[in-house]
Amino acid sequence: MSEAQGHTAASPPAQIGDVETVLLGDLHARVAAAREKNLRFVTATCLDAGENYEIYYHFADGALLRHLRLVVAKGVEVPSISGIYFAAFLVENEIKELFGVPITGIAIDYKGRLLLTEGGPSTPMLKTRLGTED
Amino acid sequence: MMLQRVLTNLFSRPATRPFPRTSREPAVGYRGAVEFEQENCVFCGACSLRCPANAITVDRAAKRLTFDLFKCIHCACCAEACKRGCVQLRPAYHPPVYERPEFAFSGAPALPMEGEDREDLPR
Amino acid sequence: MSDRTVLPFGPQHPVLPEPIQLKLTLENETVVEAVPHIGYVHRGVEKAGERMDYTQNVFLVERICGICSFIHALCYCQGIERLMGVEVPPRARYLRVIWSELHRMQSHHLWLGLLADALGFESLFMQFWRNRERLMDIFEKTAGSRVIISTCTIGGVRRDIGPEDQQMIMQELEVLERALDEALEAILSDRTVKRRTVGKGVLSAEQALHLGAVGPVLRGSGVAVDARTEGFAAYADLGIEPVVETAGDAYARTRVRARECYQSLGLVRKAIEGLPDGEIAVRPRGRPDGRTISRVEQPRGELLYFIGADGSARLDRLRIRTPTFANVPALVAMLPGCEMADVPVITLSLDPCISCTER
Repeated sequence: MSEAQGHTAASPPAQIGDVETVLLGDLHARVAAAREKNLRFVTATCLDAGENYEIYYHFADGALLRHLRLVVAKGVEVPSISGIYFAAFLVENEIKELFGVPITGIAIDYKGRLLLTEGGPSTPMLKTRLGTED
Repeated sequence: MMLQRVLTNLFSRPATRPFPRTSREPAVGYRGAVEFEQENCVFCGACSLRCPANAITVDRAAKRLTFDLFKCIHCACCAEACKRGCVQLRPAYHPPVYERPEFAFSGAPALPMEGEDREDLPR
Repeated sequence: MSDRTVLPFGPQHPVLPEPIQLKLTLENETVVEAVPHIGYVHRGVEKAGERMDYTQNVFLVERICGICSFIHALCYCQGIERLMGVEVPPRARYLRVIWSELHRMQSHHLWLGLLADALGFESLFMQFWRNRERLMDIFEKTAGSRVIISTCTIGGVRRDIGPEDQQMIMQELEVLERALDEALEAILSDRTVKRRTVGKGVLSAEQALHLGAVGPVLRGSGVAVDARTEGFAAYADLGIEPVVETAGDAYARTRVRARECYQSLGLVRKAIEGLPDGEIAVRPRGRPDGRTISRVEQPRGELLYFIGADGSARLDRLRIRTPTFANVPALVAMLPGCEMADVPVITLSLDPCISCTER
């Protein structure tokens, strides 16, 4: 991040630089470590990567961003981090609803009705859903 | 201070205009009504490709352009895209209407502009 | 055994600019638990962002929110510019700051008016919105539109602000500053306003940070975090200090926003005075490829875009994390323990923008 602090170049300094890929079993431990260091939970991003889901958890360490990257096969349960970072409950519900990632143990679980309605499209963010139906 | 504000309000003009007795003209650069200069149009479809709202449809073979005013977001991408300057956004408001307006025009392509060499244009 | 009632606050409520429902569990008049329900204005912007051309997406993201519209476009354009290796000319960077800060002022005026209205101070609400009209007129004259100004583009800006317009802006800012002095005096020193906002919705610095709060909510609790300090656009040249208050209550957040209005005023003046010459845009070549994160500071807090591109005309992923999305968990933690009558003011003190939250 050395070239990124307070300079006059045109592009903004926040990079996706510091990414640590974690295994599902280590997720809890790594997030707890982030909590120990008092990192601010920013958000989580889910990507549809064909056979897998790619989930990024973004944390802020002062002005820098640090990311944890998790790759899970579709259908594998992912434990919620809202026990450590309560703020994650909202975005985890969104990921569960829009992508269909089976996240378990979310602090407040909307059971698929946070953003989507009864009789509406399901898991619309998947690549296989064209977004033109319904 | 309160008294000052009361006196100011009591003895000054209202902050609102007595519309519709007077109207307010939009600023000079306002992106308002979309106008097509039909004589100059060659139906190349550049405006249609650039439009983010899919408000313009161009049938190149039939030489027909259709514009859906209700879809238009007045971004002026079409005006930027048109190389012949056929599309303008005038500083004027569209009045409300009872029915969805249908705007379309078709025609023979215009004569080529100076320096333009196009095979499909009549010589 | 005490009386527990579940009261739905919203989605329609005079104090809410956009629909959100809070299911409040009340014990007599005290809130014990609050559960937010959203989804009334979900438009699927992230999905739409994958279907449109990456250049057309600028117009899509602008329309996520009408109050912070330009800054959404700015964040998106910055991300795409980084992926394409585009260097934005200095004049464009300054112009972007000018429009962003005017947007911030417009947003804070809107919010201050809403706060006055929520407290029943309707005439002050009208004063704030009357002052806001001056800013909307500036947008119309310089950018061509009042709300969604559509001037940010990939590679720069679409319009220039010439010398006459610059002078016009400076004159309007003079008038605006005097009007702001008067209106802020009315809201910040009023005894009733203080009684309804001081000590309400308190969030300590540690709580605010842990709950992921951003913007005036975080800065009102004493944590000096402002994405503009990272120096994007022309902020590195102009210099910026986060506006911080320590009390952590609704009054502190009001003071943060009031002081930010003055800060924005100063920034616009400085940007106009130091506006460099040159072109207003460069033509980008090629297509975006790779992944990046772009962060800017909206009036409500930090906005984050995660853009994933694969070299084609359409993006692979457009993830948008808006500030109110980050502040909702803070609201859930802020409400227990407060009186039911304070819920509208506390909710409003977050400056909720639910259209941003749901996208």
